[in-house]
Amino acid sequence: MLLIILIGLIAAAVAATIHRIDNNRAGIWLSILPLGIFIWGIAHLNSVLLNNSIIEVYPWVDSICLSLTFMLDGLSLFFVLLVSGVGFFIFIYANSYLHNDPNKGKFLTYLSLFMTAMLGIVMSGNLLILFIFWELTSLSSYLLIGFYSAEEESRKSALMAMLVTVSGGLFMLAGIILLGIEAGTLELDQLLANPTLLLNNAKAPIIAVLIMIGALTKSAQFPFHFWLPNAMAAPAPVSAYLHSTTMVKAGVFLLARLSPVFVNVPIWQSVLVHIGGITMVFGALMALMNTDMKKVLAYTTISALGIMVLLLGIGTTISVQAAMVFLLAHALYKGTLFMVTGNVDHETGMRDLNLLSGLGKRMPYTFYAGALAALSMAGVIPFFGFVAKEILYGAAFDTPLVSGIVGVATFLTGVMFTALAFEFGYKIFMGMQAETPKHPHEAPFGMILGPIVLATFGLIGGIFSEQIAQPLLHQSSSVILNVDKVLQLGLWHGFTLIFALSLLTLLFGYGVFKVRQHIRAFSTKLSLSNLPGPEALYFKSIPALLQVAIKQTMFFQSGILRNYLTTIVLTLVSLIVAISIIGGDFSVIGLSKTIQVKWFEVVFIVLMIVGVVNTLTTTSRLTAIVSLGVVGYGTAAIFLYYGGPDVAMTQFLIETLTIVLFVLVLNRLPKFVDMDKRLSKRIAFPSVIFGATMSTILLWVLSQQMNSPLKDYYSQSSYLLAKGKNVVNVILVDFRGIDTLGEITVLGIAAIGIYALLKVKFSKS
Amino acid sequence: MEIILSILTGLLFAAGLFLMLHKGMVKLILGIMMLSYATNLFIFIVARITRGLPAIIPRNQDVLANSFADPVSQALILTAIVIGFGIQAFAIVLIKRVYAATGTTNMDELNKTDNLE
Repeated sequence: MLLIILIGLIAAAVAATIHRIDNNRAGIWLSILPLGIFIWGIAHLNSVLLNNSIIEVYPWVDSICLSLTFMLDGLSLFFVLLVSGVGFFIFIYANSYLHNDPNKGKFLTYLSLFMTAMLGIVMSGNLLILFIFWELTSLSSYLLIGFYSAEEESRKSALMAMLVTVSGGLFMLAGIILLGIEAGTLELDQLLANPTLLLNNAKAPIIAVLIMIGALTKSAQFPFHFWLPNAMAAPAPVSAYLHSTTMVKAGVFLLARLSPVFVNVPIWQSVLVHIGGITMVFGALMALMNTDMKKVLAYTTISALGIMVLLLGIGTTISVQAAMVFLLAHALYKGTLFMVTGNVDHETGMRDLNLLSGLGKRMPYTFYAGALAALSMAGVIPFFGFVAKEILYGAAFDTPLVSGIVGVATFLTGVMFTALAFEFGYKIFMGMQAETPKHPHEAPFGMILGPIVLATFGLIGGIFSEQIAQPLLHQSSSVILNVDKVLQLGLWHGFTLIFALSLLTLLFGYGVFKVRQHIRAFSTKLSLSNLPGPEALYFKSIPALLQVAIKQTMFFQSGILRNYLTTIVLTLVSLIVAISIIGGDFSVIGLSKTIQVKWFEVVFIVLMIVGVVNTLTTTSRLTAIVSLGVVGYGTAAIFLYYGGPDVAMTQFLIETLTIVLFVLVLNRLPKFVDMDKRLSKRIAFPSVIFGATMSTILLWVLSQQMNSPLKDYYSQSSYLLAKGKNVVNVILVDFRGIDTLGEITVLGIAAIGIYALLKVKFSKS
Repeated sequence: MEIILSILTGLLFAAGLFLMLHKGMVKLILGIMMLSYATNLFIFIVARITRGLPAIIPRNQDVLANSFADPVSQALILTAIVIGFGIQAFAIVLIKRVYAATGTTNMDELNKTDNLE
């Protein structure tokens, strides 16, 4: 499985090159990758269906529970087949859709990257690895939404999608880390094998909420839904792939994946049921009120994701099974409808549901695919959508909690879906042909292949649901439920209440379709879609955040050295003062045996003080440098008196060198700036405090007992081990010889820097 | 003597910082130099001082006995002095170059790159 990820990444790396070599067929070549992965998945189908999950482990960082683990069980394989199967058609579709786009290579790179990341999510066996791929999908989604980067709307939408999903991802990361701490492992197979790990753990609800935030932002659940309709700025293949069939389902996948671990945490169920339920109804309503085909599809996708979250939240056997069945049905018809919309947009130049009609004659294959997908969406027998709707209603009305509300809400959503299905499969293709910006004709082969195959699969999958879909869906829902429960799919269950509801849905749906204009007019009158919501909050908070960032940067980054130094020094001093007040042993033992003061040393010290004062007060640069030299020689003298002849010699030498260097370049250096008195007073304060603090520290340290094993060691072993009698020299060239080498290196680098500064000519600009 | 030297070190620290807080570029370098004197003295004194007893093993002995200056702090200071020289030389040339390029002598005016607005 690692190999698949690596191949995917390589494909992403070479996609642009392939495009350069074979401009027209780059997407076709790259579609070999998902096809190969699909076949690989099919090859493992039998073994997975026998309940043997495949696990690959590459140990990495044990201390943080991070290992490169991949896992292929029923749920993973279901998603692998979905991602690679749809991906195959998307690559072919994109190849035609972006036929003449010079940036097609870039697009294919992002798309390959996304597909790899998505496969990584579903095959991860370790939650940290899953998180890395999770963020990688956000990143590639950002790049794909912003593909038309010349347009401001694209860039804004891309940023919005990324900020929402990535900030959700941060919550999720916190949840994962906390889970790792509490459970002691992040390996999925271990977590799933011991679903009681978090039972009675006080932190379980917090972990559950954190992880749910990540999943719900990714799956565009209310109130984080608003990024998805905006993400429709992306090219059609992106909408069809990322924003309906795969990426937005990553959240659902994660909820399903971790369901066994959290199903006993009460908050898990209630949050998912509520959020999912609200999103389901809200999304469908919003879809009904829009007329832009892509927006409508986006809102129905939000609604459909809400259904899946709701079903996973309910958590009964039938509801989890329904979630998986519906997920597949949705992927098939929604992917198709997005591609159909892409075709319509591509060939007519518009995508307003109100204005389009009569395209069926001009675009017969697109019509065929659209109609089939719409029938599946409406849940007409014998399409797979019908199978899904049956089990969905079954789950909704079988719910132990608030079954009435959930059932009614699901039914209403189904009705609205049906109404919209009429728009997509019937209204735009039948009747009088409408005026469009472009003269409509059928899309190229690459763009009808995907929709036709997927839509047809929706039909075949419905008729032969028991043979085709049942085994894998059964296996994947068993993984979620952690017990093996029989899933029985079929078209005919007899004249039951559910069947009656299905028929009623169709009837009501057609009614809503007929009166949809009135509903839209009603909502326009009340300007329902302009109500302030989370989106407005987003648009307010981003500039506010930027303002705060600018303000605080301006505050700390004034660009004036004085402010930085003052801040550092005052922080240091106040920390020292704070520590000495709060605690710490600051007892003074006393300066025992101080050295006698000798008069000739005092002369030197007085000379140094004069030098300091002179340096501070003079207006001549030369005087200042010479006075500083006096201070430097004074320090050297102190070193000399108190047993440091080597140090003193070095200091004398370096001091002389510095002064010579200084005087040499003096003429090229700026003159002193006149200081105003006010500033002098202001900077005197931190300086004096700093000096006083250092003096105090020094005196305090001197009043303590001194015990230096290092000093003893060197003085004992200098001659015996290193055969040198000058201990300081031996330390420098022998015991710490490598340090001295480092010091020489530093000098060398400084020399190179100086040479560069002197020699390189800067262009005047 | 320790008390006098401690106060002297504090004075050097204060003067060094005072110079660095000025607007002028040359004063910045003078301040850096002053600060490095102060730091060296600090390390020297903090390791305890002994008058006239360098850490050199007498001709007829193998180890140092009795009281002697701390060789560790001296080794540190030696390194610090040399590195300090590198910094000073680089700073002097850098300032010369900055002055030639911008024509300003005022450190406070060198904040264009940090300005956000």
